[in-house]
Amino acid sequence: MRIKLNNEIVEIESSFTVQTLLDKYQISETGLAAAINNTVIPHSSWASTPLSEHDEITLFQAIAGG
Amino acid sequence: MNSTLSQPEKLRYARQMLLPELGENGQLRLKQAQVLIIGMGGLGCPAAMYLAAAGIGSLVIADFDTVERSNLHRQILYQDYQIGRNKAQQGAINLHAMAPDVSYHVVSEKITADNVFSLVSDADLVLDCTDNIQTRLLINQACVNLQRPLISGAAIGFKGQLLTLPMTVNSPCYQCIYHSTPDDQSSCLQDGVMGPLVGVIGSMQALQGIKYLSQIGCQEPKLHRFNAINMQWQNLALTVDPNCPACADKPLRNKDAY
Ligand SMILES: [Zn+2]
Repeated sequence: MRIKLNNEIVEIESSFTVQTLLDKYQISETGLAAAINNTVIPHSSWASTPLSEHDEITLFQAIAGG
Repeated sequence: MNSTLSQPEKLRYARQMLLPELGENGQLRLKQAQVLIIGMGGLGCPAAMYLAAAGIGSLVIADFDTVERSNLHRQILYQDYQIGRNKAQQGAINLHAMAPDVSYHVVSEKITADNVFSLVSDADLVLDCTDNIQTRLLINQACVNLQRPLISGAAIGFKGQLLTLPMTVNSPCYQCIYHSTPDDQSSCLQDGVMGPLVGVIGSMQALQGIKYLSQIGCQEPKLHRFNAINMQWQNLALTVDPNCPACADKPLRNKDAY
């Protein structure tokens, strides 16, 4: 199925969760936040949150500067 | 004194009191409020200037650092000849020159686990304008424990983040969003930052603060992300992490248990 990952269309298997997506793309979890359709998904739910067709996933980092 | 507005105050704040959402009641709420601003750098300067100008009753400004020449492209509260002076002390002097009705309290020590709780406890609202993750976690923990609303700003390069955390029962905290923090934090020191970008984020911290204190809005937990290259904002809803290391076992999560 197709989802958008940081605004780019990618093809993934329909069984994917947030966690398997991160694993597939080997994305470091340090300082990372993940959102599905503009709602942030807490870390403890990553492995249990399935992705659906056309979901828009945003992955972004904590920033500390000021 | 705090339950009325003087004639000079009514004149000074006339253009914002004209707003039906604020009015005289909202202005009085601002006058009765104490706001803690931690970090008087690129975010804290515009945030403090707008809050002081808006007529917040009491501003507590905290920074242990001194003004450096390399700060001045973004830390717009300070004058060139003030290089070398403590930012909180000098900031209070400069703010007082602009808005003398506000009462200013200076904290020129570093924010630590020893002083953060009493500072947060005295505040109606906390603005995190710091430049490092350790202090951010400390401020978050104090706001969680004491249930004080936290408006957290951050900026690096061309990216900005504005986090509004009301810290009401069953609303998320900073660590509900960021479960882990990078060891090797990027900072303005290493990576650079655009001056007007921190101005945008710091000004929005003040805007959210004014709305919160005057009860116009800003009661929802939100994360706003700003990309200053393409000028796009992303507005994200936030949810509680039941396993959050900062708030899972705190009254914020389960009021009835206490
Ligand atoms: Zn939390």
